[in-house]
Amino acid sequence: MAKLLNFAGLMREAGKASVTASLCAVMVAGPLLAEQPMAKAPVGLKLTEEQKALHALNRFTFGPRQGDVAAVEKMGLKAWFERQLNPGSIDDANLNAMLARFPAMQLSPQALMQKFPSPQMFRQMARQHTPLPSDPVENAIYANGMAQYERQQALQAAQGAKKPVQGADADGMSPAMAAADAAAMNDPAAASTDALTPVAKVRKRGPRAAYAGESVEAILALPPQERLMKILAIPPDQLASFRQELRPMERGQLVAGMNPEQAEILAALQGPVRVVGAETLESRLLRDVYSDRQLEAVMTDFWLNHFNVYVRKNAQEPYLLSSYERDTIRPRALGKFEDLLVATAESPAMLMYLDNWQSIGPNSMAATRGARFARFAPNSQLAQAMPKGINENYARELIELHTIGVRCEVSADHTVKQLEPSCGSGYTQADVTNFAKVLTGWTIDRPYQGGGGGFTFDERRHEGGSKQVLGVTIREDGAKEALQVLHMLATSPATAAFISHKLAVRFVSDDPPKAVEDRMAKTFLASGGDMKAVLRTMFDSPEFWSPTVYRAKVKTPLEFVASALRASDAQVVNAMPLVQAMDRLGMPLYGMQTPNGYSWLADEWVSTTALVSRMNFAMVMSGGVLPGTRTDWAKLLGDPSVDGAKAPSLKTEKALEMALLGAPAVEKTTTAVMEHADRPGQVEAASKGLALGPAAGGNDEDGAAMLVGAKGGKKRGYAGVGLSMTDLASSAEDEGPVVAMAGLLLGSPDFQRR
Amino acid sequence: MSARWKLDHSDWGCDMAGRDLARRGVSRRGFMKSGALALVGTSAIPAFLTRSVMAEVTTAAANKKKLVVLFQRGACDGLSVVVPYQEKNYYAMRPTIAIKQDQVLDLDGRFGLHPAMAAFKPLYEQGHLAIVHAAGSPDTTRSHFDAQDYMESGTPGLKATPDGWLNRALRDEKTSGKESAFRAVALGTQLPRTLQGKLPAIAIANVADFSVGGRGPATSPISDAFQAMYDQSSDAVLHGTGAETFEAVKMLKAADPAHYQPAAGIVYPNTPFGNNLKQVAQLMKANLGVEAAFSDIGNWDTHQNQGNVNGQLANRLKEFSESIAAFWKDMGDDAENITVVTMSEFGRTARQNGTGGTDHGHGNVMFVLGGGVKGGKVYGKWPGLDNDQLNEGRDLAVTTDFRNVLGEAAYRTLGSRNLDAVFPGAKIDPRNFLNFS
Repeated sequence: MAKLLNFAGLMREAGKASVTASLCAVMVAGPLLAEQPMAKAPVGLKLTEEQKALHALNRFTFGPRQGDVAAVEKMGLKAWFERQLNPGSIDDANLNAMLARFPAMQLSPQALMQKFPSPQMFRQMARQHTPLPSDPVENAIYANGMAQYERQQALQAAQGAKKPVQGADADGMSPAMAAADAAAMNDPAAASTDALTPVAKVRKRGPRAAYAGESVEAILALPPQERLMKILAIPPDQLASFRQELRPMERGQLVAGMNPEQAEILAALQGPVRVVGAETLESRLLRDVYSDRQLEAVMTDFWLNHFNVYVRKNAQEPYLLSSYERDTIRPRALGKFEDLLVATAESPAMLMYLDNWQSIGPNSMAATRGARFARFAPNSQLAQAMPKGINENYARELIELHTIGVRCEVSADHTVKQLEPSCGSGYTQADVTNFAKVLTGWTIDRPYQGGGGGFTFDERRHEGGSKQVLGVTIREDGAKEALQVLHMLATSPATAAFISHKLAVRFVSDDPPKAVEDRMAKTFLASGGDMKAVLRTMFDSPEFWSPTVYRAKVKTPLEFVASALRASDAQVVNAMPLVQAMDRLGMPLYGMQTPNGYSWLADEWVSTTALVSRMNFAMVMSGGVLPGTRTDWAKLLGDPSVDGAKAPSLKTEKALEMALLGAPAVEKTTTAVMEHADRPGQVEAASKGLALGPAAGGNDEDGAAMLVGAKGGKKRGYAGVGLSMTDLASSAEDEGPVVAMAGLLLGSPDFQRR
Repeated sequence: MSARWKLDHSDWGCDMAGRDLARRGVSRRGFMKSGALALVGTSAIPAFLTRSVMAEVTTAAANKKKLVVLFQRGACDGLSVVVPYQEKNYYAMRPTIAIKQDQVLDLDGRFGLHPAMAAFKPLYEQGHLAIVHAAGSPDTTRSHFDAQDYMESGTPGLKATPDGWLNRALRDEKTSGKESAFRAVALGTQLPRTLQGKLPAIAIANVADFSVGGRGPATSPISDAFQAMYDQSSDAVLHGTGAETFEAVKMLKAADPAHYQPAAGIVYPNTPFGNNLKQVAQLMKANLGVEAAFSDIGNWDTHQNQGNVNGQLANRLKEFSESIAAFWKDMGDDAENITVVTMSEFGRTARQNGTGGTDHGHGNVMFVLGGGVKGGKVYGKWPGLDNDQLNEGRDLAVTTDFRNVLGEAAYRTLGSRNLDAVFPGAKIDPRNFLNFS
């Protein structure tokens, strides 16, 4: 029995011996403690070395893998942490090999846009009668894109109901297109504007037509490169029916043997922007799961959320995200805050997302010129779309969300006196407006070509004169004005406090001890915002290792999914179903529309619907019926006998607990697993219930769509590129009790915390 | 499933007595569980109990009115929604985005609806739709997130308020017997601040697949296993929500709301918001005991190129008004018992900005639609749009506290009498109601 004693039990025992002093401390922090049942009575007890290792893994990685706890203990906590703080010292070859399937993710936004043109580009080309590129690959992609665009236009014209959209869209893209397109990005399965669907929906039986002079069978039998070229030669109006005539098995053969570049081209024929969107989301998720530079991944996620951008902002944004993650955020995730702040301010992704790229000084040269133009042609689209003055969106959010924080806002009913000390004299609406003037001219060079030239300062758009910001007179000095304000903001005690608090909420607890925050803020100021130093201060704080914060954090959906995959040592050959699962779990990647980013608090993530989705995800994943993701429990446990087992064994259950939770579960969880894991057919029932029909076993494409499509209907999914469909076959056959046990543990209350 | 588990309920079921406060926590979430669940939150509900719960729910729903609360997140530009088309300065301040006099759908000779909201016009004319203009928060923050938080908590300026106004309003309501798990429901993956609090409230993203381990009339073995874990968990947060989850799953299985299709001729816009309202209708038609429902619709933050008669805002307004009108018609006779109220955290600047959009402002417009509503009228004192009448020289001023509107809706629809508890410190007095209902 002693062996089965769980953590809660252990802590309860220990708690009885706790000393009065710490008890008083707990009473002061009552609500905090009460939130954490697992830490119910651990006061006065220190974490064991094993618990410390698990705690560190839970907080500084996306969850422990089998063997990680022992590895950390062996290396020594501090040494392990220092190694993680210096990601350059960690070889990430495994991840890089995996990400090699997404060659487009290495491209600049401009190259991405060239190779995978946006729907808007097609619109422009159609209007200007631009000839198609001569390169055969580009020619085919553009020809198909144009055909798709024209079909859409025809469809809209036929519907008639849609009023023409004029002037209103400077982005030059109708909202319907934007919506359809955005839908395609985050939920490719639901993309009704799929190039392939509008034509004929009925799959014909009997003899099939020839395409580009060849039969379907002959095309599929060609070697990869020739096959690709042959498909590229099929005229756009026939390509749709070619695809539709493919039998499920043949869809796999279509890409069989192709290298990633070839597969990308093939996928681009169906919708180039979707290749960009899908690869961006897939590679972000895979990095979180498989990178050995886990702290870098965790901090990259933290900053991507802090400096949130939104994939569906407009048609350009998807092209900017891979660079935003790769070039702006990740290299600085463990660097100096000011560098990061300036880098985000200079990133096309952020300038686009918060509209600053369009903001111009009302008295700037650009405004004067615009006004002249408007007098000349007052009702022209161009005149209406031309920016005429400032847009304070970015200036406000930069102050309110990125740096000193909204608690320092001063207004009629929040006086300076009411502010907390770190706020100093706070900020006002005038500061926001003036900072917006300072930021005029910070824009994007050739924004419609993937932000072609990247960040640029356009003097002609900049508002002249000196500006008063946060009590300081900013003298006229072009782009340097904003750098001066960014420096003021980055080094402000209010920012130090705000960022430290947010980090502490991410890493320590929902209501972190003030002492840790204060210590971190002090380091922040002393080190010039050095994230390594700030994290070290947190790591060295006794509060971080307090049993009261042990397992106190509820996982966000991303942490839940990533930790489940890591703990299970799951093999992901197609991450798209996982990306779509994130939607279901309420946390789509790059999918937070508002600039505050996702919450780090449990309150936001524990809801009835969220729990249902987590439990279903756990079962489907453990049973291997989540398309593109495979689990091998026998291998994980190093025990081949579990596959053939007919009844749940406690030994297996305990081994699973250690593998998945990194520590024994609470006794009640164990009991529930043992009592319920002996019913056969559970995963099958789950997959049926989740509308994972019979096709799921053999066809990942449809399986993925059905898993995430609300209606469970037959929708086309995007299967990812660089993969053969036959690689993706998954099934729930031979489902033994181990599958149910693992699924139950992944969906258990124990696994929802870290 | 074993007797042992049932014994345990006494010490978690009743937080009213405060016995388990320490264990459940005094955080927002910790407060959210109620004694009602103790009876039905077991892994296997005896059939007689299920029947009696359902029966009561049915009776309750037949007698009770329902409040639907809709939040336009992102600060909707009220001045382009209900247009003060007699204001000269409106047109001076908005050279390219104003809705022209001859384009509005005239309401009363002073105000006109945005033409994209044609679906609202008949509701207004039939006297079901009331409009409150220049409504908003007494707090002047221009932060979306703070302003939403204040509006949802119902306590402008106070961040520490642990619960939402609607949760308090429901708690204040006089009830007898057990309450339905569906009494307060939000459509979406997260429970909004508006509904957080002591009273259990559930979030549902999709009615049709709200089920653990498979659809069908009975709960699956997996569901039972998970339920056993969550029932038994000493993790207050997960335990409480788990109990709500499994009860809701069972009730949904029994009632199968998804089979209630929209009434003939009713088409909801095929958008998340349209779909949410369709599901609210399904839950209500299934007699699950819904008293308060919440949904939100985002994308109102039109800093850039908001458009005028057409464009971003127009598209949003079309979806918004058509979804609500479809819901109203879909509910048929039961619409008489329903009140819908809409809000947005603040309005937008009276002047257009440099990029064809509007920045964060202050006063805004609210809609109230209902069987008992005295519609066909624009309520509230109009502050005017002359330069010297603007709030801080830039926005529509606020003349009606949003809590006065919500208070009246809660008072008349839910029967909340203790408005001091619903909106602490606001001094909402029924004698000062706008009397739109």
